[in-house]
Amino acid sequence: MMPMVSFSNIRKMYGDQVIFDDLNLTVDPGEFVFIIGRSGVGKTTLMRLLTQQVTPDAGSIFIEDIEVGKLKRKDVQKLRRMIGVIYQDYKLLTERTVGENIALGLEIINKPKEEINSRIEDLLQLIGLPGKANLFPTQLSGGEAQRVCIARALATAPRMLFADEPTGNLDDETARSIVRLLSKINELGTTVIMATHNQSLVDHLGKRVVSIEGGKAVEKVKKTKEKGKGE
Amino acid sequence: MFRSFATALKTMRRSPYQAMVAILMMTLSFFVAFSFALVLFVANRALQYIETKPQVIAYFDVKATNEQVDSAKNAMQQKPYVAEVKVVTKQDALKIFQEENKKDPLLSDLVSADILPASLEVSATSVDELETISIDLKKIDGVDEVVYQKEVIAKLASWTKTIRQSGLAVTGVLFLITLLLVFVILSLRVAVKRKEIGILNLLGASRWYIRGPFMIEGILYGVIGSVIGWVSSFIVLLYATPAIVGFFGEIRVLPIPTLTLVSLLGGGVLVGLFLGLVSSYLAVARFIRH
Repeated sequence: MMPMVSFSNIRKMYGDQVIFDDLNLTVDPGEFVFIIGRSGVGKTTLMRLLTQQVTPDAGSIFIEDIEVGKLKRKDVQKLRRMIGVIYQDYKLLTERTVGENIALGLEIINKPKEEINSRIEDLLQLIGLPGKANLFPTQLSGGEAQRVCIARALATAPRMLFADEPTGNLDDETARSIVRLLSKINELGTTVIMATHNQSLVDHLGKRVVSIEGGKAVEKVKKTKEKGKGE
Repeated sequence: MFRSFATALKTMRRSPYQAMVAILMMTLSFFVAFSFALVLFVANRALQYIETKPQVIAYFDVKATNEQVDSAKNAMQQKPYVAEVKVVTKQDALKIFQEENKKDPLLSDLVSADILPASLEVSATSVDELETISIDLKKIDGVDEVVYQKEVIAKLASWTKTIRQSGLAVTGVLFLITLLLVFVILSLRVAVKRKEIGILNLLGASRWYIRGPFMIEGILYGVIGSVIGWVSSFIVLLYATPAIVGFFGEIRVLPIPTLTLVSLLGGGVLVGLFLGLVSSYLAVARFIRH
């Protein structure tokens, strides 16, 4: 089976600081992978490499059979539409309503108005915020804003979601609800990569965990639930 | 295209004061440009009128024959820089003299056609050619004296040049200022939307998707500004018409032909469109690059 994402021998430096040194990581389609590590180890850089916001100094990145580094500018735009990205700070447009924020990705690919409206309704149902399409992001709680960010990432039905510290600004209970939502999305078939520094979130879900240590991806445990069973 | 247009209108509606300032500044620039164009048009009309008047007069010797005068006329008409040649015969000169002295019949009776000289009145295609025409006329057999108001015409030529050159310079500088002005205004607009541009980039928006609304907004500023500027300058022209007509007297500088006014409007709209397009393109390009 062709991997959904593969990072091969990635080297990335910011000035003199080595972020990744011969990093290798493969994620299969339909998988849910936690990327853990303390702040500054390169979890966000991993997402930026994936979306071609930065390029590696060495190595190659494949999304399915597409080599990210060899894409032309126009194709990078198409690549970004294939990946749903969820940010710690939500990156919602405050002067647009919830509905308009969710619609952004669909407008970019020129979907008809009726389809956009129907998709907004479906997504609001999925994230548990029905009837809030006309609110502005400033009228939402942190957890609600993050759910809207997830809905926006899902709008174009991407094959993969990259959640970069999506629970970083949330309390434990809200954080767990966000992870549950991402799990539900994963069960529906979307590959999910979630970067977090919150070990407690990772422990109870029984998903694959990869730690970034010394610029390399270290497989911590295949499935945390399996580990629990084994012990 | 429609989405860009709708987004641009929505942005303008949601921040009406910024839009109003941009349109007002654009209107002001175009008002000055159109007013200057109208002044230039009126000045040109006046100059054309003066240029078509006889500018060099060659007086023949009283003994010169009609054949000599006709031959001189034919010779001058051949010159490419001569616009018109008019013969004033001895009889014509007498009529003019009598007309000018009709209040003094005794003086008119004393003068006969024999003692008045025939003359050639020559108009040039350009005031720069007057000196050449004067030299040509002096060489003609039978010509006694060549008269033209050298200093007045030299000054006129100088004014013509100055008005045209300063017109071009002022218009050029004005449009450069307008371009920079719209660029600065749109840069501010883009800077305010930097976060949005960043997010759209991350969502995979195409360059046109990001640029479109800003470019349409710039075009709208340019087009609306040029139309309001044109209407304002037209109203001022109507208001000033009696004063202009009174000032120029017999020189018919007004009305300005409809085609000229429509061309000015069309040209203005195109320039506004171009200014809005270029300035918004440059303003957004800077941010997209970063």
